[in-house]
Amino acid sequence: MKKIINKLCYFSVTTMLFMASIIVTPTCFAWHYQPEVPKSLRK
Amino acid sequence: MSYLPISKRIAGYLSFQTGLSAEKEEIITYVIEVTLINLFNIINILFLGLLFDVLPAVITCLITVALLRHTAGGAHSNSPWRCALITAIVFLSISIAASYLAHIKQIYIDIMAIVAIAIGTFLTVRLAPVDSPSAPITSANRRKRLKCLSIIVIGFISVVIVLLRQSLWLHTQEVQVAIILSVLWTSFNLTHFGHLVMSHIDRLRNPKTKEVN
Repeated sequence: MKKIINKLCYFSVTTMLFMASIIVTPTCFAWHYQPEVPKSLRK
Repeated sequence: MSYLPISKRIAGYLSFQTGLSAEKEEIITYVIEVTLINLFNIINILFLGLLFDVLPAVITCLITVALLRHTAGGAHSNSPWRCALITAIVFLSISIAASYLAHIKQIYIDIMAIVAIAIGTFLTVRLAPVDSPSAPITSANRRKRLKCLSIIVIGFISVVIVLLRQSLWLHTQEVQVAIILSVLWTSFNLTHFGHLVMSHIDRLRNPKTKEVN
């Protein structure tokens, strides 16, 4: 069980790090709130 | 960096399980925050659209504003909850207005469309992309690319309005008016006045909040 949770965590982290590069491309989203973009992602 | 406690908690757990660096944990927190806020707002808006029987207009509003704000940007609120409230009120008002205005003569809708596209194009060419202190655009190339993309999006929206004019679908006029009002709202958000209104809303509950931009 612990192994499965660990694998799921690694999978989530990899997916989210990939998503970060896509998410940061637009200026903002449809809404009126923009969370602070981490400095390493700013371009 | 200020994120929602839930985003920080999930990112902290994932970081602990996988041994991430502080920098990567911050990125993960940002992704979780964006995902949660987007999901919450989409579900909230769709539910309200269903409740008020203006679902086609709400979906149109959502797509149009998302397309435009993705490239052109605009004014922002300082709080995710105030943002959700503003989004719900604005999107719902646009949708309800669209459902009422859908019954006017097509010629008036055409005039509204021409005016909205003219204003949208003018403000996009002059002001877009409008960034925020939380997500500054640091590269000149990216700024240029986003301006080009926003002009393309305005062009695409104009084509959709023209194509919808030929459609026989029951909700055509409602959708057309929803697009027009969404373009006007997004264009307004590009202006200094739009920023002033947003910072004014931010100060309603928190008088110490500084002006955005």
